[in-house]
Amino acid sequence: MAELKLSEGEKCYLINGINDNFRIDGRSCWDRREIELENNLLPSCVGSALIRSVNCSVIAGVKMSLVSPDSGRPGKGKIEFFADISANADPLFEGRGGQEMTVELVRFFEDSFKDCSLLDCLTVVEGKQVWCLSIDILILEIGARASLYDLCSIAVKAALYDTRLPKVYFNPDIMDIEISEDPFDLMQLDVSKVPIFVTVTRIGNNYTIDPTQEEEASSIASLLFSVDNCGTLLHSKKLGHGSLHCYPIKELIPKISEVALELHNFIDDQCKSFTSR
Amino acid sequence: MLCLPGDTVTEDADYMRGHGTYYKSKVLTSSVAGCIDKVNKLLSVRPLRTRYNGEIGDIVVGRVIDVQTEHKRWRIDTSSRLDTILLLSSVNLPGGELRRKTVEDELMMKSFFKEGDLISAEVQSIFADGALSVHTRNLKYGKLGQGVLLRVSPSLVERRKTHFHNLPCGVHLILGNNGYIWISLPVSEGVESGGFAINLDPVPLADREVISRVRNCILALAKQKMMLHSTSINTCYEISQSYQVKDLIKSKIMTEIAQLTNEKMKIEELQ
Repeated sequence: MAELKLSEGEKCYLINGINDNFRIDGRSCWDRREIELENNLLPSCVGSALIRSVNCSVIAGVKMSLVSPDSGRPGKGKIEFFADISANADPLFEGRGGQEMTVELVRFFEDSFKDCSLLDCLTVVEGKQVWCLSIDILILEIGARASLYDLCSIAVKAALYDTRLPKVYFNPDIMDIEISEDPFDLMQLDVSKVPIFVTVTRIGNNYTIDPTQEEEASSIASLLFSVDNCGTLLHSKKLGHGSLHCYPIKELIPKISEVALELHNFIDDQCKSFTSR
Repeated sequence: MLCLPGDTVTEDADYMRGHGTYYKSKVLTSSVAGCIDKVNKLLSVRPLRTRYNGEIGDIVVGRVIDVQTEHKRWRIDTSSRLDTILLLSSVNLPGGELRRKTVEDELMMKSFFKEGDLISAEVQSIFADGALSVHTRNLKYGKLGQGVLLRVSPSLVERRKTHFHNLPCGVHLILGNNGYIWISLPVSEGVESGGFAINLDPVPLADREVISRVRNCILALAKQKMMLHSTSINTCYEISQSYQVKDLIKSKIMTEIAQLTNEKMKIEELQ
């Protein structure tokens, strides 16, 4: 996404609007735009999801393999992340163009999932065999960078919700594992603890969520938080070059938890409606 | 008449091949999805989804992307294939002063228009490669102040007598031929400065709501591929009154108001 440069008048109009809690599209500071979620669309993955919100769309797919666990964490499974930005999103991302951004994204995912309880249910034989989930995130269209992180995390959570792993049994006779022969003998993951990301963007003197590209272009900086389903903040990261003061951020924390809980509930509702279909 | 890529435009061999067509075994065939244009014996297909193809006299809204002092020109983004050019000799200087072609006003170029500025302009000429040259030598053109820019497909804006509208709901609208639409508060008569002085006072909330409503209405119409002109925008604005501004970005409501606008306009046409 080429940097958007706004004129003075546009910026002024936009920032004053946010001070009035009325954005250019009529939303208030804490309103999110419509999100469309679909899942189970890639037959080659054990779980997948597609998310779309106005001019941003992300597809996430989960694949699995059996590996031996890390020596320090015998009872924990593994999750690997991989992200790619399609050159269709912007010619800038052709070849390795998007690498800087995807590395950042992947690192934040890895940090946020490090201590997730999801890893516990990926154990097959403690110390011997665990599931390794490879999660691919493909960014098809890119709107504002700040809202991209949120959408990616929702896509990943929805894809994990959709994931069905074959049940594996330990056979003491041959001292090895056996995969159940029944193709419908599947295990669903407990994704309730999977964190999602919430980005707050400082524009003028206020914080907002889900900025448009224009809003992002006139913002000072964004703060990215990963939040679990209890509203606890797990990780944070700053996006952008501006400097922020810490006091308003402290006041912001309850609001961020609230926004995150709404998103968690949204995913739960959506995914439940998928399974009942 | 609409046609799809691969559709036969005509089997009559008398016609000449224009843009967007090719001969497939001596039959004139369309290479794009669009409507057929006939000028005497020349048949061309005008694509619906396209970049902006300028014509002399078009009114465009563009964003300055580069100040090229050494070439005495600005580079403007007008969503055409090649960057548009605004020459220093085709702008009115602040205060309507005539240019004295001194080195000073070349050096002052950045203070007239700088990167990121939005301008309205008129297409003055087209270069051999299709790049456009625009001018702002009229007080109604020039830098744009506070407001909202929208980008829609250029094929949704028809060439009309006037592209500057003061809508009855109290907003000023510039429908650029290039699909860039500028919504702002109306400028009072006689204060047009060619846009060099910009008013940065906060816009009252009530006016802001009207501007945002118009913005969302235009987006709703554009999403349903409806032509944008003052009538359709006004009709849609009236219909949208039954919803709150922030609900107008929901896709269901967008479709609904656009369809209602379409129906209402058809009825009015029949009367």
